[in-house]
Amino acid sequence: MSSVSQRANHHALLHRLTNQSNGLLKPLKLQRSVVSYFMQHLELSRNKDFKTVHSSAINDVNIDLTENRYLLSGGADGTIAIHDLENLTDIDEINHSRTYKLVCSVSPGNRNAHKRSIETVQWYPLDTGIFTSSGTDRLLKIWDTNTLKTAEEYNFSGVVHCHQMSSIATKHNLIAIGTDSSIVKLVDPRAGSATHSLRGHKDGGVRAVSWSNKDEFLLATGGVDNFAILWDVRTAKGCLMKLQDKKKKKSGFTPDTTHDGSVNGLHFTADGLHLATVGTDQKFFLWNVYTGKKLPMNFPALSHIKRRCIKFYLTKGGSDNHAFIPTGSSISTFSLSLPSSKSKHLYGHYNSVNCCTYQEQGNQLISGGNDQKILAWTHKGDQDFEEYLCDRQVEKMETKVKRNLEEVLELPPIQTIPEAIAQTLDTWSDDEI
Amino acid sequence: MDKLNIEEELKKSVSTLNPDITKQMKKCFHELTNTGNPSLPEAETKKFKRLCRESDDYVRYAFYLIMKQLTKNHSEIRLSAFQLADELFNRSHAFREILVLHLQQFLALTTALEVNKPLPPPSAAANKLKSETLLAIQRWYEKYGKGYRKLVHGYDYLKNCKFVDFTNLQAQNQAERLRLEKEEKQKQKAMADKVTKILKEISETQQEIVNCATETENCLKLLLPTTSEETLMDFSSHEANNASLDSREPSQSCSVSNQSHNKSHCSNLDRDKSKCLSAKVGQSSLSGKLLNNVESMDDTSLSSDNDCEDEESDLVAHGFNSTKFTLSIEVPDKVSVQETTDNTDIMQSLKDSSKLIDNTYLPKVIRWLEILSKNGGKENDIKSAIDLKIHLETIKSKCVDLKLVSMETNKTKLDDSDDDFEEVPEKEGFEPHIPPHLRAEYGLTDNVTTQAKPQLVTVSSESSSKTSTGWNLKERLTSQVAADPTTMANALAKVESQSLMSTSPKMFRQNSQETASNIPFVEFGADLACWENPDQIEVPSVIKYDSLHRFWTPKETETEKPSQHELSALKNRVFSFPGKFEPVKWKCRAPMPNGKVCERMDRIKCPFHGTIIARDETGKPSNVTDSSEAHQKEVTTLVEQEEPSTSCCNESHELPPWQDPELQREIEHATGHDLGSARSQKLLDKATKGKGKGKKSKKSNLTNIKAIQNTTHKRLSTKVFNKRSLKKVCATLDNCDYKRIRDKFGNQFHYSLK
Repeated sequence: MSSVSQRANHHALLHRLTNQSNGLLKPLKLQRSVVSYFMQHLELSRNKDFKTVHSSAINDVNIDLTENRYLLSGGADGTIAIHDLENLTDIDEINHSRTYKLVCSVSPGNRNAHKRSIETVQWYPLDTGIFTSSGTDRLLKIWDTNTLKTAEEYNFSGVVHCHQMSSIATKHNLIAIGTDSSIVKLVDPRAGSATHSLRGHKDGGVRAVSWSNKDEFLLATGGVDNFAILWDVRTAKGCLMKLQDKKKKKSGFTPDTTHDGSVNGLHFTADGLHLATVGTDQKFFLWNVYTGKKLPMNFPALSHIKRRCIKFYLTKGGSDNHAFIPTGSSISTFSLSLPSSKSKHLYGHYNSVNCCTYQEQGNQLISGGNDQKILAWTHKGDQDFEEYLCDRQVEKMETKVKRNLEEVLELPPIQTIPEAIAQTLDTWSDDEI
Repeated sequence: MDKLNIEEELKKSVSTLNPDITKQMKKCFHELTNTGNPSLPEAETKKFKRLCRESDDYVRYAFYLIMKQLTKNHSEIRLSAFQLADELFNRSHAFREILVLHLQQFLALTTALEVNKPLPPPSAAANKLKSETLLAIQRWYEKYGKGYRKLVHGYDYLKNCKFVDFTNLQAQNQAERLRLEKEEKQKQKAMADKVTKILKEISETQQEIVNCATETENCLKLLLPTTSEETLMDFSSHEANNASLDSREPSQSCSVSNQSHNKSHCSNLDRDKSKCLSAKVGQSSLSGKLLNNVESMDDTSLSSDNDCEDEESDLVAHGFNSTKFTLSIEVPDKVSVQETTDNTDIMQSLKDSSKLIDNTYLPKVIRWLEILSKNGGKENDIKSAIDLKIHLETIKSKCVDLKLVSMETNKTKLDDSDDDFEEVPEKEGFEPHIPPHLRAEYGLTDNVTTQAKPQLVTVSSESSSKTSTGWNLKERLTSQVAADPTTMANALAKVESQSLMSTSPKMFRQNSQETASNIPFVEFGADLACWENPDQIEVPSVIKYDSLHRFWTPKETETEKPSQHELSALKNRVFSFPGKFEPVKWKCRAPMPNGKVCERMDRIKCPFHGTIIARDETGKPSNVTDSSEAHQKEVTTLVEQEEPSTSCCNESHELPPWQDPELQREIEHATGHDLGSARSQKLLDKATKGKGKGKKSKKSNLTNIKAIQNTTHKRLSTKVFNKRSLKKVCATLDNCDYKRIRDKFGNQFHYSLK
């Protein structure tokens, strides 16, 4: 089944390519279709590794927006690491893989490091000189990347579940913070303190915050009270709207909530028109930001959504964008425009996956989990690269043989397959026929 | 969905695959995983692999089957499934891919790395499963790490997150191997030591044994010098001499009785039987002479070199009147040599040496042989030991064949006669009991005695006659019993003798015909005193004082009328009836492990072998039920017979006490080592299968987990820690406490309120 669809995709891609060469298709469209083609068949990369730094679970990964190059990751023991996604080591002959080099890291023994688990890390949107981190030690830290020291610290009364800076803001510089309390705090680093507090969630903590990527003053928060709320940070009066499905009529006094469980993940789509929510009721919804209505689409059911902030990702660049949601030990992925009843699972992590992000430039998914690993997922697991390696080796062999032939005529051509491929061959013994 | 939905996947794969093959695979797979053995059967595994080889889809189907089986709550099933997975992993790429994809789940089910999911019971199998899986993961990692990225991650995950120490695992393995090697070495050393020790012992004692053997042989030769060669030689010489005699007297008839030969030197040689028989008349007569000659060592009067001419006179001299006679020699099976003053020393030494061989040397040689063969002794040593053993055995058999008639009885008699005075038990006047062989002395004719003898005496005479006629164990035992002063039989005998003594023989003689048995006698009492007129029995009156004052007593005291009750108490007599004592005449005779039968004499039930039933010589219960036995009894005997038969069965299959499966299970549970409780359980099941309970064990060879859980500890704990019983116990304890406090401090205000 998968091979058939793959072939169809292949054909569609080729068709588009001919169209584009004939001038019938805009290059951007082709690009988008190619990008979404890459998104469809992600597999665990066979030859890309991240240099291991973390000795505990990885709770969040973030790629900088300015260069799309540096990967920030925060661990459960307070480790922060920055990997360079464009600087790979040469092919390691032993492991047959290439490793993303480490730029710098903050070890848990560092004076400035978080004493407890880091829940969220984020680059400063405009510059890689600053990044922010927050964790269960109730601190939000603003770091200077160059010196790897904290420039500022904000203390809160509860565990900081999540924080986010707006990626497009030009008129403000606020960091939205969701803590154990129901009040969403807005910290202004320029002022050096919490300037706003948004009261709207009834009780319990706030598990997810997300700034809109179209409107710089639009903020979405999701709480334990099962509501996702949209705010305009300029109005102090109250929330813009609570996302709830009006159609749904429930008996009794139970209010119509965004989810039937706490809202643990929020993400705006690339166009900023829709908001995706993930709740502990193991469901994924898309909401229209302007009307506050739920899109009538049946997204596949999720599983293993925990009671913590879910760092899922919606891709931007493709013609057919995908959602990547960590569900247990696998990452569920499905198309947003054409959601089928079943999602695809990416198996690669052991124990649970905590976070994932997609590098649009490199067309690779990067995920971190409880198994202390950052994994890269690429199109068909870089099979092409492997084939290329294989070809190269064969070529090498042939040239060698030719050279040998020139020297000594009688030398049988030795063809050895690379070990990685040799290992993937069947080895049924003949006595079992 | 995070976890693989096995059922769904199975259904999906079955729908696309060939149903015949999947069915075959399923069957084969279930057979493979339900063996309960720590290793897979080869043929089945091959078959399964062949089925899987059809296509990758079948391999995937096999994977789902394995995963399904891995969820079973039995470690032995899981272990088999894992081993199969290992087999396939080393074969198929498709299998590797799918297993690596679901490696986490696989690991969770096989290694118990997740805390909340421990491996299911038989702990021995669980431990094995865990260690084998980890080893396999390492193997896989080394072999296929480059091709399967996730496998590497899994390995790292185990190493980094679950802190599985793979190097140590290997080291542990190595250590285990080293330990085993060391043990093996030690064992071999011990064996070699044993062998050298035995060899030394052999070299020390062999000469001794050989000496003893030669001594015995020589003794035998001396006693029976006519071994086959000699007689043959003699015969051949005589044949030549007596050729004419042979032709002349073919039908001479003569009967030579054994008594007519020498006085007591009688010996018949069965060894030379055939030769004797083949030899014709003259020869045999001669051989008879020869025998005489040979047997009586010093008898030289009859020489064998007789001339042919004076044959007849010779015969006459031997008491053969007629020349026409047939000689028939009766040859008994056994050779018996009677002891005489001439050969006593030889006999004695023969006896001693044969005893020495029988009791000391032969067991010793057998033990040597055992040890040598077990501990890998050299072939030559074993051979020599075997030779020695055979030699000793032949000598022993010779000695056994040769019946040595001891002359001890005669000897004692002779000794007695040597004494001038015979010790005679003192007699004073009347002797109530005259032993039968002395009756003649007393001038008692048999006729009179038999008539006059009271029955009791006859019994004793009978018994004595019996003992004289033949040895009887029963009699012996009863006599033994009687000899024991603590037994009832002894007491009875005493009473009998006393009664005999007390009554005069005349009276006895008169009464003997009237009373066959003892006359019952009762003590004198009131009822006897007034036997004639029972109305006159008076109850002794009791005076009851109303006032218990010492001085002031009423003038007239009314004697109370004796009540009817008291009267009857005087008239009635109480006899205790102990029943008649019947000595036990049977034995348990249940076969015992040492090959003998149980000698216990219990009335109904042997404490070791249960109810006593009829058995034959070898101890097997005889199935023949007495025809007189009623149908009801038959049923009971059937039950009885069944019980010992099962016990017999148990004995043959019986496990030694250290192999008691329940005990082993408990130890295994505590230590986690495999002691083989499953095996012994199986053995036990097999042993008890005869009862028809083996249905369950037939179904699968797996260890019964429920039986494992059903330990004495558990049973007890369910009883002891039962809520109700706990409540009860607590209540009683509280009550006790309260009582104590009340007793101690009851007068204090604080405690008095409670």
